[in-house]
Amino acid sequence: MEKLLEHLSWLARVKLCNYERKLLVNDIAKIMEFFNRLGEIDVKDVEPTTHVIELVSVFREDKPGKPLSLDKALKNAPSKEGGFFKAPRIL
Amino acid sequence: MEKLKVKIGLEVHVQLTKLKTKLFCSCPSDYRGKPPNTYVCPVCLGLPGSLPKVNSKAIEYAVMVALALNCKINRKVMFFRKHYFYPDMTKNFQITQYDRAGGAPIAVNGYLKLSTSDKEKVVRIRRINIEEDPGKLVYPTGSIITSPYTLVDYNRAGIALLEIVTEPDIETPAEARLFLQKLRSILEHLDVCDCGLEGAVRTDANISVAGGGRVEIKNIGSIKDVEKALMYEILRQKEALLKGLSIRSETRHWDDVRKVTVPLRVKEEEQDYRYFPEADIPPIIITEEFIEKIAKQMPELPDERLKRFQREYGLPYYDSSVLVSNKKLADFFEETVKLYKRNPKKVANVIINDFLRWIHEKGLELDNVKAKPKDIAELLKLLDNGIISIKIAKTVLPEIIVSGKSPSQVVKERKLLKISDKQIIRQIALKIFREHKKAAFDALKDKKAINYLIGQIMKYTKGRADPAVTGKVVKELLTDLKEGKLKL
Ligand SMILES: [Zn+2]
Repeated sequence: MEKLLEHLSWLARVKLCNYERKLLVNDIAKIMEFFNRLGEIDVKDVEPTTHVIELVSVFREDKPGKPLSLDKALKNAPSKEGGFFKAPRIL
Repeated sequence: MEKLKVKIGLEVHVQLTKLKTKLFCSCPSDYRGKPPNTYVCPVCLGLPGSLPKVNSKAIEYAVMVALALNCKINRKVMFFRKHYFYPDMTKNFQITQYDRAGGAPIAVNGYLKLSTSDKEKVVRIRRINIEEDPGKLVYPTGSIITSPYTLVDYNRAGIALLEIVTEPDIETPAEARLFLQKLRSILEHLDVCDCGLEGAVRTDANISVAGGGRVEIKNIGSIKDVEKALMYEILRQKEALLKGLSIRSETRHWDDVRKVTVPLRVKEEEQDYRYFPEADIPPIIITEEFIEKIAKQMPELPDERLKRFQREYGLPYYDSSVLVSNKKLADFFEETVKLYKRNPKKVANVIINDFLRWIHEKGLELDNVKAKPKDIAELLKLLDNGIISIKIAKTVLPEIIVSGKSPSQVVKERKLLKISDKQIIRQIALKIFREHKKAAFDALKDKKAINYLIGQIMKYTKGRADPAVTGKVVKELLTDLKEGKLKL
């Protein structure tokens, strides 16, 4: 479980402290147990349910609308520079 | 070293640049050259509560491409979320398609025939996905390595992309180039993508040499670079094999400045993407009638056009294939023929042998060439009417390509009219004879010296002297010289 948690935190690019790790290991164990139980059900002949609403083919015409103003677009950004969103260094 | 078996598969990302809006929102799609984050809305910024809605024209275009690539079109099309944490997508997932978990891409199992004059090669198409383009990352220092942070522009986020994936049927870098050229020509004939736009077509190539590991090369921006990257990779892998090393499966990045491939960060594995159905977008049902309607509206494609060029204009296979390999070139040819009907083969010759060569030499693209079909037609007419010589025509051509002036304007400005007046040529020839006395006497017995004299006359007149008249005049003068009627 420790390994799985480590992998998940790498995927999510989130660093965890020891305390958080202890809490989350328990949570994840519970979640995994739940999914393992779901996995026991025989669904061989069941069509996967991908959507619960029976709508199909909802389209939009290819007509341009008005985009947001730059101010509005960046309003919730925690960090910005010269009209750009600013994000951490990535490697 | 014996020839090693090379297997190449391509994954081509094609922006549907002819759409006016993005894939799931009505933001305009002509984001190129616009200030950052000015073509964004709650949908393509992934703000909570926003609802993506599919651009109907994108489905139409995808079906057109699928038909042109002989694919089987799935009747129920669904979108999936592909999760990954990277700032090029605000939502932390990309809306794409998936062929498992009840999903299906819009089209599968097609093929594209590549023909060279001596053989035909079939490259199978595994699938075509519709998906959204991510945003663009900008590195303040220009380099991903040295930048202390990253800047993000979401103008490109949500642009409609087709991901076209081939089976590993391609055996050489040159075949990969042919495939991409033909694909590009098809996309342009369908009028769904202006492939010349920066970043409109991006290719990932996977390659394995002699059964070694499968190496994926990401992010190759041009057809030429795909060929170069594959050649580089084959060499690199062959050298490693020679040293007894084994090739491991990995993802490499194409560095288009240094023209080498370099190893990339560790990537997520498929299960890490946690694909699941995009519940916000109901499935799309593609009906038989819809496909039939599109099939009826399909424009002429390169293969048909090639045959028509052979039939209608009497062009050889080679000429026709060069012309239709680029839609704009084929259009240019046909426009020119409309204005110069008497000899389509002559038009093809000028365009393929001279026009194209000059475009490459000047480092231009067909789009930014100033010369128009009417200019090429006019040049040919000036030539036919004896107003300029073939030599002059060849010097006028590069000038009209760059300047946009008409051929007659260039001829007039640079005083390039052909000299066919026998008297004038005789005077010039006499002057040349006197300046090159030794050559003149040599010419009495040596054919080479005759050519030298004619060459000097051409040089003096800057190619304007009519070759036939000049030849005749030189002959007459030599006869006079022999018979003592001419003193030098
Ligand atoms: Zn938008």
